[in-house]
Amino acid sequence: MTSKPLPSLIAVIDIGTHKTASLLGQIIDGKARMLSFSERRTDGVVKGTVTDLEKLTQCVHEVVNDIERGSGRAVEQIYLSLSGPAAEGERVKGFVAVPAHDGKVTAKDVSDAIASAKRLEPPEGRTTILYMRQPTMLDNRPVGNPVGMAGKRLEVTFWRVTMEEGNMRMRVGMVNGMSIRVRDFILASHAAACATASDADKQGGVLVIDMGAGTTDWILYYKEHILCAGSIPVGGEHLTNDLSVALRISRETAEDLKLRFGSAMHRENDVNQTIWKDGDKGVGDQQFNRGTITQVLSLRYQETIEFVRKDVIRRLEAIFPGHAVKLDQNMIPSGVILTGGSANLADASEAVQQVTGLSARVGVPNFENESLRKPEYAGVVGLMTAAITDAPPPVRRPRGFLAQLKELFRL
Amino acid sequence: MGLFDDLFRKRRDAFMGPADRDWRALVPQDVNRVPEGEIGRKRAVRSKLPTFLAAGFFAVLVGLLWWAVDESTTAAPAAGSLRFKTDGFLTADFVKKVVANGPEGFGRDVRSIKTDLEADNQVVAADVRRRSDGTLDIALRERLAVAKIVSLPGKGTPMQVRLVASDGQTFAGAGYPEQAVRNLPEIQHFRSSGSDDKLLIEGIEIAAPFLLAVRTGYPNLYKQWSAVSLRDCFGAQEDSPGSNLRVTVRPGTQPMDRPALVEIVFSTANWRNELMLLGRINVDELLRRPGTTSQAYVLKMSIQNRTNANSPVPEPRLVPLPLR
Amino acid sequence: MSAPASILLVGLGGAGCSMVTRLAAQLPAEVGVALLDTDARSLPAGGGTTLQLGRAQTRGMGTGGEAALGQASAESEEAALRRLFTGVPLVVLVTGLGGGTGSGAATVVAGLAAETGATVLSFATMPFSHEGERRMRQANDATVKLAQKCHGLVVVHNDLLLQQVSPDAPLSESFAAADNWVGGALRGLAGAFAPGALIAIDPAGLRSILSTPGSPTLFAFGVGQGEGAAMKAARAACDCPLAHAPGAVAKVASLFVYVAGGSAMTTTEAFEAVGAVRTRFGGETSTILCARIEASLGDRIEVSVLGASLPAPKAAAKPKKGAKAVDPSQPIFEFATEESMRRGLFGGTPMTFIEGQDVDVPAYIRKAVRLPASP
Repeated sequence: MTSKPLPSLIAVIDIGTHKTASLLGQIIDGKARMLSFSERRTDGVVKGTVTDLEKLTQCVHEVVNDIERGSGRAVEQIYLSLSGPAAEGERVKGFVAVPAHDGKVTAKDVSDAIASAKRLEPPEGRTTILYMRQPTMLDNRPVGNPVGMAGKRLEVTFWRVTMEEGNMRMRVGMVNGMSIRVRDFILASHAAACATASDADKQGGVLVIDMGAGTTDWILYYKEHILCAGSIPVGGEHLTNDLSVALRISRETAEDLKLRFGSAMHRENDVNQTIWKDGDKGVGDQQFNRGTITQVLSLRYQETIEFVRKDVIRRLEAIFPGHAVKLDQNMIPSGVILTGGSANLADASEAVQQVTGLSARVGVPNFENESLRKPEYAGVVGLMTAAITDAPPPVRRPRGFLAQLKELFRL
Repeated sequence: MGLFDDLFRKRRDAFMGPADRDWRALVPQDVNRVPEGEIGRKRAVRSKLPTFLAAGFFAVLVGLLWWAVDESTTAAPAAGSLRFKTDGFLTADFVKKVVANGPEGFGRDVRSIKTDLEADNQVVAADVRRRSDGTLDIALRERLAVAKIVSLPGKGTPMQVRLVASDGQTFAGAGYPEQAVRNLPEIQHFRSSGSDDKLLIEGIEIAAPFLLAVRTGYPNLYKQWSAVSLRDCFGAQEDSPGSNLRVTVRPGTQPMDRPALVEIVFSTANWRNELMLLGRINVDELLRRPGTTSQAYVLKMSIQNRTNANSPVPEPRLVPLPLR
Repeated sequence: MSAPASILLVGLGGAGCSMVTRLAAQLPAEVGVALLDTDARSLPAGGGTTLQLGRAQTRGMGTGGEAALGQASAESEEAALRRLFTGVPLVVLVTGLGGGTGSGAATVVAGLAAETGATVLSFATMPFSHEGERRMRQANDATVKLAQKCHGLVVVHNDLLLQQVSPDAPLSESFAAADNWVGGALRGLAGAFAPGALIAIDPAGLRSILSTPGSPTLFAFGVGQGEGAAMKAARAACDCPLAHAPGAVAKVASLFVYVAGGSAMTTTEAFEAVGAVRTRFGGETSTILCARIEASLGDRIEVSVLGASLPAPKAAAKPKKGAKAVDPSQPIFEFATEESMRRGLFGGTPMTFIEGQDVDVPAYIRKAVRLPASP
């Protein structure tokens, strides 16, 4: 007696330095329909690392409660995003020599190669979180599906993401404490790319930079596979802080000025502009030179992009040793897609273009619900998209009475 | 995951390769399902089973303790209240006297109270309980008296009446009302040894069951009997001819217009059958037959088993009582 | 009998000694000078008190950047140091942190001075951002330890110095800026002790401001010239980069303001200046003003501000579960200088280094970019 499968629920949560957002959706006809969304300010995370677990747990608790209440469904499994320097990635390779008698690759060969790739031990104290497929090479030629093709040496590569064991336990434990299972981790930059980059972009080659409040995660795609990914521990908070120190104002004021008058490019003309903090020339109002603001912000922003650029080159050189890597439009035809909360900074794409020499645009997540089509939600929206394609939740079946009774008494 | 797997699961420190280091292998996520009603509220969910088990365990524990406490000695002596019932004639005063007899008084150990009560011959069994508030709950089963014996211990001392129970034990008969005692048949002409509670009447092992059988089976006859004489009773020996029980019938229980039946004689060996026979005989009709001219008769029920052709088995016969 | 100097200016380490040597010429007579170093070459022969530290440890060749060696060197000369400091009411310690002698010995020297009963005020410079991670870390550690021993600690960031001069100025010019500040401070302190002030103070009052070791110290210095020089000087002091910091150090409880001007300066001007300074810096608990006429200043007016914030009785954050208990004798010194001044919000978080630079420090500071002046 098989009961009809119920539409699966997907719950995703993106815990960032500035905000925690969660989305609950239902898979209907292979696409996700949003059921409820919730967002709160994150408490207890600084620069992408957890400093106060209790506060963070409280915050996540509230967010999950919100989406449950909003949709009327209980969340049992959830996908977590993995971002920041905590997630170290590296390439792992496995290869297998195709048996000579036939010369054709079989499925078994492929799975052997995959197994040999996964046999590599992660570094001490770290645990493997993800394996992301990278191009398969048959006799040093990249191929799509090698099964049935003739060749001698089959090599599979994965981008393996590892995390410190303690960190992983903390996150999973936090979620488990709410009676929710972690279904999977998803790389945040990959999620952002799933939301903002099209398949055509990924096919040709694209660099997606997700600049959030605490960290900047980037990911480089080529031929539809991830080539490499990384993270810089600098984010929008640093922009605000710089401004706050330079102008000797409070953080809130700096944040406000950044949003209103900030720019990633500094132009000569700016120096001549004077702006008022409150704008109403009331008592206690302060004047600032717009040039100062743009100068400070552009320096920081461009420096961060420069860090990203150097990181990309460094990793590419590690992947292709011996080659001098030049980052240009030939290599990455679709250029840079900027996303994340800090992509809202004025003239950001222009600044990136200037620093990297690639074309750049601000990416907005592709989602049915209009209120979420903003760069700062690329992470959470992308999580849902990535979850459906990479690791769909299991099919639900309604539980029989016995099963329910067992559930009640499960220790 | 079964117990077997649990016990013999591969240990983590043994090198298993990255499968061991995969995060899923490191953190088995064992979470309970949130019931539908808990959505949006506090999410920590626990299984109910431990609660049930714990509640059950404590219920059992409390029950055990309760039961044990009932038998225990440590209850504080309360107001000395007593609840008492018996199927005989003993009074609460008697019980109170027995209970209070001892250094601890009312707070006495339940077992010792029971022993003391059962020491009295009148009590067959005593059920003594102490409640949680200190009240004593006493239920007695008494010996049923089937007869009495009257003795004169000595000159000048009043007549002592003791009651005889169906098992041959004698007892003082405390609490028995006068009427009941008067109605009991008296056992006469008996030889005995011992005294008081240890009084052993020779032949009582016949007479007491006999009387009990009559009392229970033939209450009408029983009411008419005033005494049982054991002068011819030699014991329960089947082949002791002549051993009999002589029952004196109350004269006042019979009609005046015919000769009176003053005695019935039963044989010790065969009294049950004789009783059955007596139950079928219409004594009144026998006594009214022509030819009964004497004023008083003795009914000899004793069926003696002398079977030979020459001497047919004598039936119960009425024997005229010689006038004295 | 020559009384011991009322102020002893002590230069420690290579940087400290060079700064003190430069300043020595301009100092009033009340200020005594002493040079301490492990590197024998920086101690000039003759003139002024010099003490070579750690003869056995370093053999006169310096510590090579090892703070531990610097500390050992200072400890080995404990007796001599004590003699040096005995009877001196105020010791001003000038040192450059990041290297071995400065970072390692400063704490020891300050501690000894404090033990002999002197009030210890330290000026410490932090290395440039581009000097690398190791020196920065060493300097940071040293600051923390030094702050506990000194009654007042003023941290001067070399990065900030670079901002004060135009981008293509030689390095010596930026050091001159630092000299300017420290010199101004010294002149102010000396002036407090010297007789003949326009508005005089009791030197003991000054010491009372700097009485608690480990409390955050504020220092600002400004110069104004010409018309309205006093207000200009005050404003310059308010804008002094040394003093800006979001957070607690912006306002202090006790202030010492020293105003020096040419003969044209009036008491009113001095008070105006002080008023402006107070608006900016606080000083509710006590403000001590000393004003002095120095003919050599002409129409320039110098304002130097020294302030100390006594820990507020309001509850400091409860220590989080598992966090080390905050020692009550070390009040909120995490607000002291280094962290909040430069790293702003990220003060208190571990430093993040990319390419050897602490990226929490604002980009414009590390790149030494001069910001447009505020309107």
